[in-house]
Formats: sequence, C-alpha cells, structure tokens
Amino acid sequence: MNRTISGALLAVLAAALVLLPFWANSGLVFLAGTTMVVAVFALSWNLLFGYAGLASFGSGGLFSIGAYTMAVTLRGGYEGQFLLLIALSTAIGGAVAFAIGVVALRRSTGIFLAILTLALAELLRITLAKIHWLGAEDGIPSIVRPKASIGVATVDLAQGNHYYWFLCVACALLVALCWWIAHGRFGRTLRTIRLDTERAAFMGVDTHRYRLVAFTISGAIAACAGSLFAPWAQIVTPDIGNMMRSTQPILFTLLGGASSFWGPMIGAFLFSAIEFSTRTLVGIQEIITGGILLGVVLLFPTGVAGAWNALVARLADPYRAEAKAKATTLRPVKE
Amino acid sequence: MRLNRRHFLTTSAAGVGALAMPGILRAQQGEAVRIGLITTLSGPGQLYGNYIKDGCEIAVERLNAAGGVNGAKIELVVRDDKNSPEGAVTAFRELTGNGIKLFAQGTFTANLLGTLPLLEEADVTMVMVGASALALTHEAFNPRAFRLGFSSPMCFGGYGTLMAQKHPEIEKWATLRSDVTALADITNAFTKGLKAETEKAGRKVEVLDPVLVPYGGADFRNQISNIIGSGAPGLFNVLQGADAISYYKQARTFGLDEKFKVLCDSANEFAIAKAMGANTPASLWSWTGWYPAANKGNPVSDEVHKAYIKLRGDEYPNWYIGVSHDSILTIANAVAKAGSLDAAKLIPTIETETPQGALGKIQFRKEDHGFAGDLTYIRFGRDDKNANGWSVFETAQLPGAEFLEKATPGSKLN
Repeated sequence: MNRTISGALLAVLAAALVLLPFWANSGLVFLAGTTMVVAVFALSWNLLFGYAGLASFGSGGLFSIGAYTMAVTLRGGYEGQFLLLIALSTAIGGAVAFAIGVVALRRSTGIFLAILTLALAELLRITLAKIHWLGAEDGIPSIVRPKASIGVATVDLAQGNHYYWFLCVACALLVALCWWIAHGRFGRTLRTIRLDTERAAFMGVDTHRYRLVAFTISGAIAACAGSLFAPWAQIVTPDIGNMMRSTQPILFTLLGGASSFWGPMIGAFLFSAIEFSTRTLVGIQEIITGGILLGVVLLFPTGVAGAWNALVARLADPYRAEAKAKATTLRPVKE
Repeated sequence: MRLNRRHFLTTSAAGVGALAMPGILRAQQGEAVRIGLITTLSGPGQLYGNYIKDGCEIAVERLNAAGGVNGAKIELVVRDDKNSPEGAVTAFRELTGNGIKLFAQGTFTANLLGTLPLLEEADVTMVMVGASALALTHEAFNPRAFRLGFSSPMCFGGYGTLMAQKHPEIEKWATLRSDVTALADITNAFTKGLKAETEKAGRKVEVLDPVLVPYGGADFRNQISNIIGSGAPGLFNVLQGADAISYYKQARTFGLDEKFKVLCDSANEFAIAKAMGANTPASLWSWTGWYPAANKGNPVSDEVHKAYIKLRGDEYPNWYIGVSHDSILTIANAVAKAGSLDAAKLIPTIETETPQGALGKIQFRKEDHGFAGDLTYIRFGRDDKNANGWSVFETAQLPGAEFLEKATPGSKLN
C-alpha cells in the first residue's frame, strides 16, 4: 500500500509539474525548472552520501564545470549539437570527478574528503573569476536556448515553454538513471560498503573501485545538471559553483531525508516552496525559512520522506508500524 | 493548550500562508502604477540593497504625497534577488507575470546581466540603479534599460582631472589597490584623467605602479611601508569596504597623514569617517554619487535628505539613497509625460526628459543610455571641534557628461 500511495502521489506531482506553464505565473515556472535541476543535482550528491557513504562539500564545482562547458560551447556557435553538448559536459564532469577521486579517495574519506573537495571547488570558483575569456566575475551572460534535434525532429527550445518541458524530460531521465543505479546490483554493493567497509572488502568487494565509480557517476550527473541549467538561467557566473551551491544538496537531503531515494528531491521542492511562499517578507524571510527548516529537521529526524513513510505505514498497519518504530532508530537507505 | 506536532505544522502552514497574502492582495488592487524593485536584501550585499530600498521608498512616498502619477498612486513591489542571477530572474519573471511593466534593479552587475536579455520578451522598461559596470551600456546594451549609475571612466576620470586641477604641485602619485578587475579599472581611469589634465596644462606627472594588497586581507603593514617609502606626495587608495577600514586604521600608526600631502580614497566616502570617528585621517578626498550639502539650492535633494534623516536618523546618507530615489523619479516622470506604461513611448521620453532629481538634472546619453549627470567629490577629515570627531571641509562638482566614455552600444569598449 505504501508504494501504491507514494507512486500515485509521485504521478500527481509529476503531472502538476508538466502542466505548470498552463496555469502558473512565469516566475513560478522558472523556479520550478530551477528546482528540478537542483533536485537532480541533490540526487547525484546523495548517491555518494546515502549509498557510498562519502561526503563531498565541493559538488558545486562539478555543477559549475557542466554549466561553463555548456555556456562556452553555445557561445562558440555549437547550438546545433545541443544533445551532444550535454553529453560532452557530462563527460568532462565525470572525467574531472574521476581525476579527483583517483587522487583523493585512496588517501582521505570522511571530513578530510569533505574539506578537500570544498577547497577544490573554491579554487575553481576563484580561478573562473579571474579568467577574462570566461567573463571573470560577471560570467557569461545572454546564453541562447538552442534547438534540440532527435533524428528528423527538431525542437526550438527558445520558443515559449519548450525549454521547461525539455527540462521535465531530461530531469525525469536522470532521475530514472539514478534510480536504476541505486536499486541495481551496483547500488546494493555501495550500500554494503557504506554499512561496513571492512566486511565488504573481506567479502571480495573492491571498495576503492566501487567508491571511485560512484564518485565519477555523481560528478558526471552534477555536471549534466549544470549543463541543463546554463541555457535555463541564460547566464553563468563563478558563483554558480560557490559554497552555497555545494551546501544545497546537503540541506535538501537533510530536509527530505537521507534514508530515502526521493528524500533530496522532496527537500529541494519543499525548500523552494518555502522560499517562494515567504518571498514578500523582506527582512524576515531568512528567519522564517530557517525556523521552518529547523522545526522540520527537529520534528522529523529521518526527514520528510521518513515521516511520510512512517505515516503511510501507520495508516496501513498501525500495530506493526508502532512495533517497527520502537525497534529501529537508525535506518539504512530505503527504496 | 498542549502543542503537538500536528498543531505545530497546521499553525506554521497557516502562518506562512497568511504572511504571503499581502502580495496577493496588492496584486489585485489594479489602479496603481506598479514599479518592480529587484535588489539584494539578503547576504553581504544587502547593505547596498537596503539603501536602494530606502531611497526608492522615499521617492514613492514623496511622489504619492504630491498626487502620484497623473492621479494614480505609485506602488513599489519589492523582491530580493538573493544576490544571484537566478534569484533576479525568478523575481523578474514573477513580477512580469503579474503584469508589471516598470522596473528598477540594482546594483550588482551579474544580476543585471541575468535580467537584461529578458526585457524585450517581457516588453518592459528598466532603470539600473547605481550600476557602474561598462558592460551594461556597451556589449550588453539593451535599449529598454537606462543606467542611473556612474561608470569608472566617468567618475574616476573626473576624479583624476579634479586632483590635477586642485594640486598641480604634486608630480608623483602612488596607488594602492587589491588585485580585482573593477579596482584596476578605477585606478586606470584615475591615472588617465590625472595625466590628461596635467599634460593639457603643459606639465608632467608620474603615477607609480600600484601596490597590490590581498582582497579581503587583514594585515596591510608591508604594503603601507611600501607606499610610504615610494616618496610620492599624493596617494590614491582603491580599497573598499572593510579592507579600507582596516587599512586606514593600520596606516594611522605609520603616520599616513604626515607622509602624504594629498590623500584620495576612491569611493568609500563617509563609511570611513562613520567607522573611525575621531581617528579619521586629517584630510581625505572621496568621490560620492550624492552629497546633499553639495546640492544646496536643490529642493529635491533637501527633501530627500530630510526624509532620510526622519527614516533612519542619519545625517550622512549613503549616495545610493539619492541615486535610487532618482531612479523611481525618472520612471514616474516618464510615465506622467508619456501618459503610458508602454516601453515604446517611455524610452524616447526618458531619453529626452531632464527631471530635477536629488542628484541634479537627471539626463541620459541617447546613444547608450549612460547617465550624464553631475559628479561630486568631497574632502572630509578629523575635526576635534565636531561631536562626530570629523567634518566635511570642501566639496567639488564636475559635469559628468564631459567624462563619459565613448558610446559603443552593443560592442565592447576598447
């Protein structure tokens, strides 16, 4: 029943997102598109944290690499190959993540990896701010929304809400890819490593290789999200990969729940909804937003997704749910 | 009453909904002339955003008290851009989606570069408040946007010219700045203005290579030793904000006042005096966008000054107050004269009208919509007789239009 209710809710929310341009203000449509992208970005981070047990504080840097790659290539007049440009951005993000992972993962995990990745992302941001060819502090503005060609069909993404619907499709595909990775054999092995690294190694799992692959995949998806974001915002600046960007997926995951695949996405949409609802409260918006987030985190330690799962389970079988709640406090990733 | 989780969540949700309601109610009023203000109201940039908001609100209050625009009240709809281009774009799209056609936005360049490409599609008119980046009126020029701000060549070229006129005896200048592009532009503009005016008078002046200090640094003692050892009697300092305060504090112990005949600060104006009080340097020049005492006889400037003192109790308003006030005034005057909110009618009206603002006559160069108003410079310093510990000694004004850089709308200035 839990899955049926959650699945139905997911379908309703997805339909609402697709139909949003027909009834919502253009500001809300822009915010929804942005939220979809950062939700995928958060999902890529949680592949690393929730599944592989690795915390990166520099994922914003990889998002930025994808965004800048897309901006530069579009500026260079390659808008006719938009889908190839997304693939290129993803590949570059993956390659950079692989290079960092090869050096960093053997020597550091935990807080050391977090600080190292944070330092690298900051280094990238400062470097971007000094390169005049990339617009220095002002970045690259006026990025065009290109045409996307699949076989004989070509869609002009600059027209109306075409790019928004393109984002819907692209983000759905990326979510499906993350789901497939997380729930397949690879994801299960990662969870084994997260729960007990020594035991997994004893069982013959090459833990370093699995973590490196997870780091690379997470980086590639983060860069892919960045490449989708550049034509959406139509401007990239060095701050696109700043510390705030890197902390976004952490915040979304805490809010939505690290123990659920959907947690980071729920967190992203909830955060955007709170921010949008309080936008007119100039001066006290941060206090209200922070207060609500604090309340949610304190009231629901397993995040909104954990609370939702518990609620549905309680409705389905109150006695069993209560016994289960008493028996488990720390919960692994739940599908 | 016992507060359980359900009560807490229900109450919170109701609270957020109720607090968001005023925006919905305002949007339904309809008759007012609505102007969207997008600025930075959170994070480190909110210092400037708050000044901009205050200045715009003073303008709306003044204009509404005088009868509004052709009988209609002006309504300011304020949004925080969160100092990010996507925050600015979200706010812009939301407001245009609600039918707003008039915008004031400022002051950070990247946020403006985010919204400029959207003006055409939304069919709106914008005044860029206090923005200085050259890109806005050159390579990123948009005919629907007017920059009510001072470009570096304009205000610092004028600054160099003024110093050459005021201090012809100084033949050697030292400069100090952080390694940041915008500050390099300021230094270059000052040097260019200084050299041009000196050469015009048949003299020569030497400007030493800048002494570089780390941006956001806290220890400037080595660099202070370097500039004092340079032997230059004139110093142009291009540090900004907190860096400048730390620098002047440390430089005091080196006897900066005695080592240089003329001290110039780029644009920190009263922020230094307010922070340092009786420890302010003995005499310091600074550029400012607006200083009420330099505009004596301008009733608009006096009224804005009085309104700001009433609002904040501060006798020395930041120049953004005057600039943001005049941004709203520019829009309101154009709507009144054109009798329309249509950009096609407003743009030529703003190009040709010269309303009296707090800064003086508000006028824009037609080719690139760059602001062509007056430039103001102030000299202030330590004064034991004043309770503040400092006073303003001298002001000077120059016609800004004479120092505007070449107009190259649509392409980069070489």
